[in-house]
Amino acid sequence: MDRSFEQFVAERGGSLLRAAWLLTGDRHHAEDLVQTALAKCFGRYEELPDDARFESYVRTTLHRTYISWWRKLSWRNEKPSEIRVEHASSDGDVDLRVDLGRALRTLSRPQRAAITLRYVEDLSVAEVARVLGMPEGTVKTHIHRGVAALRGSDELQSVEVD
Amino acid sequence: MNLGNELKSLAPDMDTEGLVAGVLRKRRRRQQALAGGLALAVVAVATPLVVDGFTGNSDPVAVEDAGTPEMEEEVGPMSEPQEESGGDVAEESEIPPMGDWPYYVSLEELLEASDVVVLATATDDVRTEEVGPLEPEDPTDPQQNPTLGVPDAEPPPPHTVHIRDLEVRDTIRGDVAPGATIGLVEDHGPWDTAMLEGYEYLLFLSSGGDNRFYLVSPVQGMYAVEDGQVRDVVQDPDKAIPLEELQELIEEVR
Repeated sequence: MDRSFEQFVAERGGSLLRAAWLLTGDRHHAEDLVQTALAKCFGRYEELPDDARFESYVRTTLHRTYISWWRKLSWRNEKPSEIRVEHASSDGDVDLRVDLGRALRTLSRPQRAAITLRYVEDLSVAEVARVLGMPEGTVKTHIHRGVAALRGSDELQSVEVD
Repeated sequence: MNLGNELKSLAPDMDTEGLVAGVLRKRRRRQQALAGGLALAVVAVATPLVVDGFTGNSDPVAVEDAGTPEMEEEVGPMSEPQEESGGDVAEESEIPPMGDWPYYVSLEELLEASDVVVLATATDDVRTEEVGPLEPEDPTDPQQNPTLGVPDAEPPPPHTVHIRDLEVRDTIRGDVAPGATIGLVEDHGPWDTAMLEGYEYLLFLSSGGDNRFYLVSPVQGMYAVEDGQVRDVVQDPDKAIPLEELQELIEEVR
């Protein structure tokens, strides 16, 4: 079947942008992150046999790029703005999502990346470790501390995090 | 509450229009950046061998290994030209490093200035401590004594520094045992936050005694190490050379 990079972006770009938004909490940074990851992976598109493999490659690049030092330097003074949930799904408790968004922003970048890969992308600890290029023990620590921070966050004290 | 479900529903739908154009724009910049220069600033001047030897992509990832993208190929906002219009908010807010630090024009000079060169992992154990004010050696020197001539001048307030524990994996130079924990005094303003816990760095350090160390220069003393590549994290994150190659060079300088 014929495939094209443009078609891949049209079909999977939205999913990548949502993943990037969960990491950055900001539309512009999310777009920047996705564009950067896709630009890095662009040359591999024809080499990889299918879109699923390419998307896996892009997602790995996206998360690694996010936690990379230059992003930390570049966005070091960035503080999370109010989480605007009007664009999110209308299901469920909006206040809870606002609180969750705020709590998520308090996590360190490695913690946020590990948490989203584990709970949003549903990857195993071993897979998260491979994506982030970290030892499994380090990933477990990031997840453990990240979840503990969410549980301990003022905004989510009344909520049990699974 | 199911954390995964809540997180998934938190992210908004976003328009993908313009994404491909943005990718192609970044791709062009990336190619320009990679073609523009390929050496770590610290070794570029004195060791052209490294410049010639470094390809920026010395260990290409096999196509089959789709889940391990090349970390050494990153091109970030610090090296990219400003966006002509729209997008790239992070790039527009970047402030170039500035300061009055010693600058070492060769690896040899950098090594001479370093009491210790180590590969060490940053821990999350960071303490703050107030230091000073230091008594000027020459109270009549206005550089040492900025309140010279001011009657009844208040002494300057103490200065707060951060001390981060590092776990030493390997000692390339100096008297620190591998496996030891040392304290790095971070006292360089915005670069204090550059270190990420759990990551390994190649550090050129001067000893402050009492198991405390300082970067010999905030812009030339710290390099990130990942996948066998040493990256100039502060000055130009696009540039990296193989650690093995750098270790060989250090051996040669010895």
